Order: sequence, then C-alpha cells, then structure tokens
Amino acid sequence: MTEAPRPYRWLSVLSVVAFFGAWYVVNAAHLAPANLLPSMSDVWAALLDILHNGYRGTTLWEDAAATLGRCLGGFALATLVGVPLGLWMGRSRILAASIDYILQFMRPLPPLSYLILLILWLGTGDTSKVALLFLAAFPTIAMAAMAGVRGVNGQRIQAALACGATEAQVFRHVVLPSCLPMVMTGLRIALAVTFSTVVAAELMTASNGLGWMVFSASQFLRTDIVLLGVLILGVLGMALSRALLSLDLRLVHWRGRD
Amino acid sequence: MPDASDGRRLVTSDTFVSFADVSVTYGSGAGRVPALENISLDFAAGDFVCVVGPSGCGKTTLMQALAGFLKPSTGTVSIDGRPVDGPGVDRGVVFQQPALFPWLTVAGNAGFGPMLRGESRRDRAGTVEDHLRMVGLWDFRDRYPYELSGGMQQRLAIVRALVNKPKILLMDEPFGALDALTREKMQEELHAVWRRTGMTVLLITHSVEEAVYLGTDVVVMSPRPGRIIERIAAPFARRESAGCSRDTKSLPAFVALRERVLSLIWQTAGT
Repeated sequence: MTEAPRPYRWLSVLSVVAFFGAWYVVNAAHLAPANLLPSMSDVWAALLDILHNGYRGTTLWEDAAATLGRCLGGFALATLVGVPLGLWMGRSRILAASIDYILQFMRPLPPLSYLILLILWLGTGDTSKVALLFLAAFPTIAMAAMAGVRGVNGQRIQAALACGATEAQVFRHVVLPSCLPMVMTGLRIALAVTFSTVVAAELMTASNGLGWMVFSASQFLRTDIVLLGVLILGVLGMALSRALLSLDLRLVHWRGRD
Repeated sequence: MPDASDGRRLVTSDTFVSFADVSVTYGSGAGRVPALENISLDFAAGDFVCVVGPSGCGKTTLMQALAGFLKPSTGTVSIDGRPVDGPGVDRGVVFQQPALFPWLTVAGNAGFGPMLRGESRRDRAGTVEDHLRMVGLWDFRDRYPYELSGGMQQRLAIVRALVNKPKILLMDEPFGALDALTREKMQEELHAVWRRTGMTVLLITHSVEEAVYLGTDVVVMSPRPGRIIERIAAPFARRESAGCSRDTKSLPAFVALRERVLSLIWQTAGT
C-alpha cells in the first residue's frame, strides 16, 4: 500500500514493463491460444471499441461511474456512521459493550454471503448494493475509531487539562486529532474492502458497472473485454487507494514520527 | 478560608501549598496498595521544592494529587488557601515525556492554553513570542514537535505550561529522558527561569544532585507506602553564583549535603 522508497522506484516501474513484455512474448510465440489469452493489441482494440461504441448499450464511462458511485456511496455512508459511532464507543464502555459482539460478528463475515438476503429485502437496484458496501465497511471503520479513542495518550489529556481545557475541549483538541491516524488507517482498509466488494456484487447482480461488464463479457467468451475490465479495475482501485493515502499523509503528517 | 481582621490569612502567613495528612490508596479490597501515607507538607510561594526517593515511593502520586489528576483517599491538598478539586490552569504540569501535540506547530503548542481561552492568534502572539524567545525556540516556531531534539521538546513543554502564568509549576522527572549534558543545560535554564520569575516549583526527580542544586527544599521520601522522612533546606538555589553549575556542584558543602540526602535514601530503601 505504501510507496516504494525513491531509489528503488525504477524497480517498480520495471516490473510493470516486464509484465507487459512477458504478455507480448507469450502471444508473439503463440504459447497460449488467442481466445484464452488475447494479445495486447486485441485488448487495446477492445478498449477503443467500447470507448466509442460502449459495451452492450452502456459506455465505459457509465460503467466506471456506476461502479465508483456505488463504491464511494457505500464508503461515505459507512464513514459518516462508523466514525462518530466508533468515537462514541471509545468514550462509552456501555455503548461499546452493547455493540461489540455484533461488530465482531460482522467484521470477518464475507459480504457476499448475505448479499442475496439484501437483494430479497431491498431489490436488485443500487440500494441493496450500497447497503452491502455499508455493512462491509462500517465495522472496520467503527472499530478503528474506537481503538483510536482508547489509545489516546493520557498525559496529553492531562497536559491539556492543566492548560485549562474543559471536557469538551479535551475531546475537540486532543482526542479527535489523536484518533486521526487510526481513523485514517481504518478508512484505507475499509476502502479496499468496499472496492473489492462492489465488483463482486456487480458480478452477481447488476445491469451496468465494471464488474457487470467483466461478468457479461465472460458469458460470451470475450476474454479481451474481461482482461480489459480487470486492468481498468486494478488501476482504478490503485488510484482510489493512492488518493486516500495522499490525503492521509497530508492530514497525519506526524505519523510514525511521534 | 477565614481571614483575620488585618486581612492576612490565619494559617501561617507564608503557606502557599499545603498537603494536610494526605493518604492515597490505589485499588480496593485485597488488592489495596497504599501509595502515600499521612503526608503533611507545606511550602511557601517562591519555594523550589524537590522531592527525591527510591522508585515506588509515591513521588509521582504526590504531584498528581496537587495537579488534581487524582483525589486523595483522605486528607486535603490546597493551594493558595483553596482545596484542590480537579486540574486547573493555575498549576502547570510537565512530565518526563514532553506529551506535546504533534498536530500543532511549536507556536501552536506554546499557545495552546490561550487558544483554549478563546484568545485570537493575534492576542496570544506576543506572549508566545516572548516565551519561545526565552527558551531559544522562536526560530523553530513553524516547525512541528517531532522535528525538535529531546531537550527542545522539553523546553516547549515547559513553555506550554508557563504561558498560562500558573501559580506553581509541577514537574515529574522532566529531565529524566535526556542525556547528561542536555540535562545539566536544562537545569541551568530552569534555574534561570525560576530566578527571573520567582515562581513556585515542585520538582520530582531521581537525581539527588539535581534536587540539591535546584531546590530550596529537598524532601526525602520512603518507599511503599510513601512517607516523608525528612525535609532539608538547601542553600544553593538562592545563592548568587557567577560560575558554572559544576563549580557549585563540587563545593564541599554541596557534596556533603548531596551525600547526606543519598545516605537517607539508602537507609530507607532497606536492603
């Protein structure tokens, strides 16, 4: 998840070049049947094709937007609920005890195992998918925020009290910023979970989205589009995680140096 | 606190801080641990009181009770005639770990107290600048605490407390984590600040030399349960000295007092 140290950045770049090189060699030497492993130029042609003509009625942008929208919608909802709830749980042992088992039950649960229930209850539309992503992400976020509050350095609180801080000021000026590193870590884990879940959910039930595109193409043995979809999903996931990481590094500039 | 007709306090006029028969017990039932037992200790405004004793003698508990971070099981702690009831801005605290706020700059840490009281950045700028200049941190005002050395971090922690103009500065092993040279420098600076401001200081330390050098009073405590064994007046803090600290610390009178305190600690530590 973190960036390779600068002096070795070229190795990271080289590995990507090597990957594409190996792909090219396998195709050029006819080591794999073209219908199982399409060539780079086939995938490129597929990209141009769906950029211009779309795939089965939806454009690539619409599919990407649908996937991103569901992902970020579920993630935002989980953040809005999970962070305050987790902060509150960190303060209140009673609240924490009341929700503890439920969160512990939910966190390791594969979201797809209950997707079918959500579809039965909420329909096949986006509501069930956003609900799924919310449920997948929010236990991680809440538990990270709770751990953040519990881990606040007690002497920082005492130092603030001796500067005349009220209870509310201690929370606002010491507890909240102290939690930030843990909260951001929780959000980064949750975003990765949300993104992989949204694609899996689209594989099972959707009429648009990148996951749907991949699944649909596989039914027609359009391996060029499947491969293209995988590449786009990978790059998109990386971009999302990098965006959150750079926000993290800017907000939590003291991480690891404290 | 009742006042006499002439307006002076009835309790001994120079009592500023008072521990009256203070005991602190941690835990309950079979797991009860007495940390402090029947502590009675008074000191006057402007005193620099150093508390020494072996580990586990309740030195830190003593400070925490005055800071208001814990409530004594029995007895009362009072400052300036008022019983201590929770932490307050009149008692500045400094710990062994600086416990700075890494999300704030050096200036932000220094101005933390005034910020809490709603002073605008402009209003507090002057005080913050004066204090940061006093400890040589003004050039680092826009840095973050993690960019400072250990000694600078501790100076900033002291400034964060002093900015609030506390009636007393409470320090718990403030130089314990610093290297020997930095420690001596910090002692000099603290001594200079105390001479200049005339403020009251309670310093908890493991270092007998530090206590005898900085303190007007050295309080020796015994381990578990913590009791005060002896309180000794030390003359070196108020003495005019032109030379460096090592000159004072090698005076025969200084060495004699240091050894006397050390032998008291050895005796009480038992085996």
